[in-house]
Amino acid sequence: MYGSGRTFAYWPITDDLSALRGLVQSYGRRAGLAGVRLQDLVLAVNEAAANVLDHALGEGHVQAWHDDRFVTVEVRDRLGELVPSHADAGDPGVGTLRGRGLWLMRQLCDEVMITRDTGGSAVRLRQALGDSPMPG
Amino acid sequence: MNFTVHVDAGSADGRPLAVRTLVLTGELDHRSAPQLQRALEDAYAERCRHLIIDVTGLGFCDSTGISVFLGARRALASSQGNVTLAGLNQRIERIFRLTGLDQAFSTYPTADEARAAILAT
Repeated sequence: MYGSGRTFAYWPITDDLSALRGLVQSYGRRAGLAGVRLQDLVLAVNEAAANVLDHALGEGHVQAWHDDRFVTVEVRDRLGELVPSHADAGDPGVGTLRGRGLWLMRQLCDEVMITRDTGGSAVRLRQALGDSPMPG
Repeated sequence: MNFTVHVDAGSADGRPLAVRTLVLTGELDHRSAPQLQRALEDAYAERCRHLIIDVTGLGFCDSTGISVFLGARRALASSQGNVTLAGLNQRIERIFRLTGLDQAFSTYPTADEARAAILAT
């Protein structure tokens, strides 16, 4: 199912999110993203991976692939507590300290989709290449 | 990139100032946020009421960092104090605008301007 894109990448999640951000940044730039849209994807992946550290025992990995139209990054955990409806999370507002990760991902990316299977849950983040409108 | 918090806490004669400035540099994220949280707790323990957080040198801030900023706002509001942010660069301003933090905090171009505004009230 991952074979449709070119240049597949795989990175384990560790508590060094700075290193992960660097890898996603390089991958996204090579795929053709730039500027704010690249920064936004990097932040969204950071948020999804931070959720794995905080809520899924820190066990998971990141996969990335792209074609001529989209860069797609999938952040997978092994716990499987995230379900598709979590992608609809609303803005918690500034009165709430935590729990804005998934809402923020939706503001940053063109597409956010959560899937779950026996291996765990996955947040799929997608940013369109080319002259697509700004999200949000 | 490393994260550092530089604390400007005292006057030249060693007395604590009513206004404390925290100068942040580097990347504020899941790993570095506890460092900022500790600096904030030191400030609360010393009864600091007005905090200026200078983010001029902050290259990255995620939702973990946002949680810490909002926690500081809540902590100081309970003692009639406040948190003021200074030096928002383009990247930080975008994430603050998306999350509504630009409306939740007073912001100034520089820490000096923030300090002058606090001392004038």
